[in-house]
Amino acid sequence: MEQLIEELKQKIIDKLKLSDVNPEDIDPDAPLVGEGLGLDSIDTLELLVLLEKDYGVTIPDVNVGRDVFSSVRTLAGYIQKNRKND
Amino acid sequence: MSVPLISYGAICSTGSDVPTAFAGIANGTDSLTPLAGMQTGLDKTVLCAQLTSEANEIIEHSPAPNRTGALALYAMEQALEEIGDLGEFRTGLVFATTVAGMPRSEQWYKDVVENPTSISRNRDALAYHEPASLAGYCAAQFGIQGVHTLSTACSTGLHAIGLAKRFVQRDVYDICIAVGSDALSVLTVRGFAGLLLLDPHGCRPFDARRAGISLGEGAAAVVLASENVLSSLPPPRAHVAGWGASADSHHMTAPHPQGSGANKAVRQALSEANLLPESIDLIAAHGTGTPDNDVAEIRAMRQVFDSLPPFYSNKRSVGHTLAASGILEAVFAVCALEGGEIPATGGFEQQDDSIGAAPSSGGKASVKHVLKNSFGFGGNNAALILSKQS
Amino acid sequence: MEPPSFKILSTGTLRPDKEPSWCDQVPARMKRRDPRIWHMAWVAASRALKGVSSPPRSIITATGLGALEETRSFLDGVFRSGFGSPRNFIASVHNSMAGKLAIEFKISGPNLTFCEGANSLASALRGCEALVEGDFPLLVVAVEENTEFLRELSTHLYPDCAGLTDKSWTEAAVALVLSSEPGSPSISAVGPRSYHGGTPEDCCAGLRQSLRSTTASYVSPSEGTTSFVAPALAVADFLADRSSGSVHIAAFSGSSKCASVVEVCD
Repeated sequence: MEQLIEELKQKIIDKLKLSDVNPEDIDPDAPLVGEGLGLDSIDTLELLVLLEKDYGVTIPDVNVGRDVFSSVRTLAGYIQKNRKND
Repeated sequence: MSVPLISYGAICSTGSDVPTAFAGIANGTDSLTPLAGMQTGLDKTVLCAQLTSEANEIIEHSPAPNRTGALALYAMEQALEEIGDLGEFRTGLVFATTVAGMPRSEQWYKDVVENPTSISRNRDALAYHEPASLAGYCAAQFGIQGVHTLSTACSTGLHAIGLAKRFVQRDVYDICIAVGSDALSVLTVRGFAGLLLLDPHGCRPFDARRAGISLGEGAAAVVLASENVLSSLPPPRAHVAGWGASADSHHMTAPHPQGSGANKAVRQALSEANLLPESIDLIAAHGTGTPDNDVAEIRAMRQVFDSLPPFYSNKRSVGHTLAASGILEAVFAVCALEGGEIPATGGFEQQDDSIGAAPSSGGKASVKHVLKNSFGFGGNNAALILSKQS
Repeated sequence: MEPPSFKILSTGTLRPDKEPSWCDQVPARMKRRDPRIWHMAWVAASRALKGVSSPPRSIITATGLGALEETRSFLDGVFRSGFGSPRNFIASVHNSMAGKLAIEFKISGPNLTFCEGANSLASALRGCEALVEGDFPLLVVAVEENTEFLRELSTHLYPDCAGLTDKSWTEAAVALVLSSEPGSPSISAVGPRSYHGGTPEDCCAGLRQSLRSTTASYVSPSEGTTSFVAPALAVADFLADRSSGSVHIAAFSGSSKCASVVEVCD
C-alpha cells in the first residue's frame, strides 16, 4: 500500500503538472482538495483517466468519487480494493 | 412591470405539443431510456430523455440544417401559429443554446480523426456549427428582424426570457420570442460523464440517494408581446413578472453551498415583480438531481421564504435539456398557472434529511405566481416569476 | 428610436501579436489550469479595472468561437484516447470564461455571454440595454483566439472560408467598463439584425439611421478576412486615437446573415 501511495504521489504531480511540488511534500492523509496542494475538485476528476488506464478502476458516481478523492491514502485504498490485476 | 406571454411551443421526451408534454411531467412520468443512436464510447448505459419515435420522425424530416435547429424551428412554429402574420410588428428573437451544431460537427471531427488521409471538403458539415447561425436561420424562417444569441449553459433559457421581457418593456420590440434548444451530443454526454455528474440510475431530484443528472433533448419557445399590440393578438396565457440574474463567484461547476447567488437572483425577480415571497404559490425548481445542486437550491430558497412553498422538478420526465431547460420548464410553469395544477416530481422516493423537505407529488391547487429557477455552469443563476394576471 | 448609450469608464486591450510576453502577466494559479483564451480575457479585464474606482457589478462576455482549441482537445481525447479532459469540457462551454472572471474579480451580478460571430460586441451592448441601473458599472469583454485548429480547418473547408483560418486573423481581448449614465466617451449599438434576402451593406446602412451621430466616420470590415474581435479592436483604436468625433463600426456574419453597427462618440 505504501508503495502504491508513493507511486500515486508521483503520478498526481506528473498528470496535474505540479512543477513545484515533490512527492515528499504530499501528506498522504491530508485533504487533496483545498489548502496544501491547492487542488480543486476538477483536478481530482482529471485523475480519473489514471485510475482507469493504469489500474483498471472506475468510479460509478460523484458520491463515491468524493470519498475516494479525500486523500492519497483513500485513493490508494480504493485502487487496491478494486483494481484489476493484469 | 410585467409583460404578457401570449403563446408557447415545445417538443421533448414527454410530447411534441405543450398539453401532452405537460401531462407527462405533471404525472411525474419516467421517460428516461438508454441512449440510442449515438456512439458515445462509454461502456456503460446512459439514461437520457429522448424524443419518441413519432416525434423523432417529425424532427428528422425538418428542413433545418441540424437537430438543434430542427427542434427550435418546431417549437417556434407551434408558438407563432397562434400569432399569425408578424409583418406589422417590430420583432426580435432571443435564442438560447449550448450545443448548437455540435452533434453534426463532432461527427465530422470524428471522421477527420479516424480518416486523417481523406480530406473532407464538406463545408456544410460546419456551416451551422455556431449558435448564431442557427438563431439567424430560425429568425429568417419567420421574417424576424432582431436576433440575439445567448449561451450561458443551463441558465440560458431563463435569461433569454428575461432579456425578451426587458426588450419588450423598453419598447425595443413589439413582439419578442425566446427560444431554447439543445440536442444530445457526444460532447455533452462524455463531458458530464467525465465530471461524474451523470446518475447511473437516472436522475432522482431531491432524493436522499440522488447521484447526478440525466440529459434530455428538447426545445421550447415563448412569445412575449407589448401591451400596445395586445388588441391584435390572442389573450395572454400568463405574464412574465420578474427576472433576476446573478453569479455565485465561487466555483466553475459546483454551486455556492449556501446558495447565496441563487438567493440574490430570486430576490431580484421578486423585487421586479413587486411581490413578497409569500405571494409565490409554487417553485418550479432547477432540481437536477446532483447532490450539490438540490441541497444548495433549497437552502437558498429557505433564505428567501419563511415558509417554503411547494416545489417540484420535472427533470426525471424530460431530462436536463441544458439551454432549453429554462424555457421548456417555464412553459410547464405556465401550464401549472393555467390549469391550477402542481406537477409531481418523478424519480423522488426518499426525503433527504439535509434538505429537510420533500418535493411535490402533484395535485390541484390555486396557483397565481410561480418562481422558476435555473442554475448553470460557472455559478450562473437565473430566476423568473410567472404570474397568471398582470 | 435611438438606442441608449453608455459612458465608457475605462478600457483594457490585449493584442498578443503586439505583446509577445503578455503571458508573464498571467498569475501562476491560472497558468496551470486555464485555457489561453481565459488568460487573454483576464489580462484585458485587469487592465480595464485598473482605471475605475467602483468595481463592476456585472459581466457580459462576447465571443464567437469561444475556447475552440479546448473543445477540439476534448473531442480528441474522446475519439483518440477514450478520455476527454474535464477541464477541456468546462472550457468548451461558451460562458465559463465569464464565470471565471466573476470568480477572479468577485463580481456577483448578472453574468451573460453572447455568441454572434463578428456581431458579438454589438450583441453584448444590446444586452446592456436589458439590465437595470443597479447592475452597473458593467464589465464587457470581447475576446477571440487564433488557434492552430483554425489553420487545420483551412484544409477541410472550401477556399472562400480561408479568411477565417488565415494566420493573420487577429486575436485579441478588449475589455470595457461601462456606466449606465450617458457621458463621454460613449458607446451604443444597433442590431444584430437579419439581412436575410438582402445585403449586409444595405442592412448596415439602414441600421446607421437609428444611431445618434450623423457625422460619424465609418468602419466597414469585409467579411472573410476580418476577425470576429475586429469591431472591438476598432473601438479600442478609436478611443486611443480620439481624432474624430464619432465612429460607426459595422460588422456582419455570413453564417447567421445578421449585421450590426456599434457607435462610439467622443
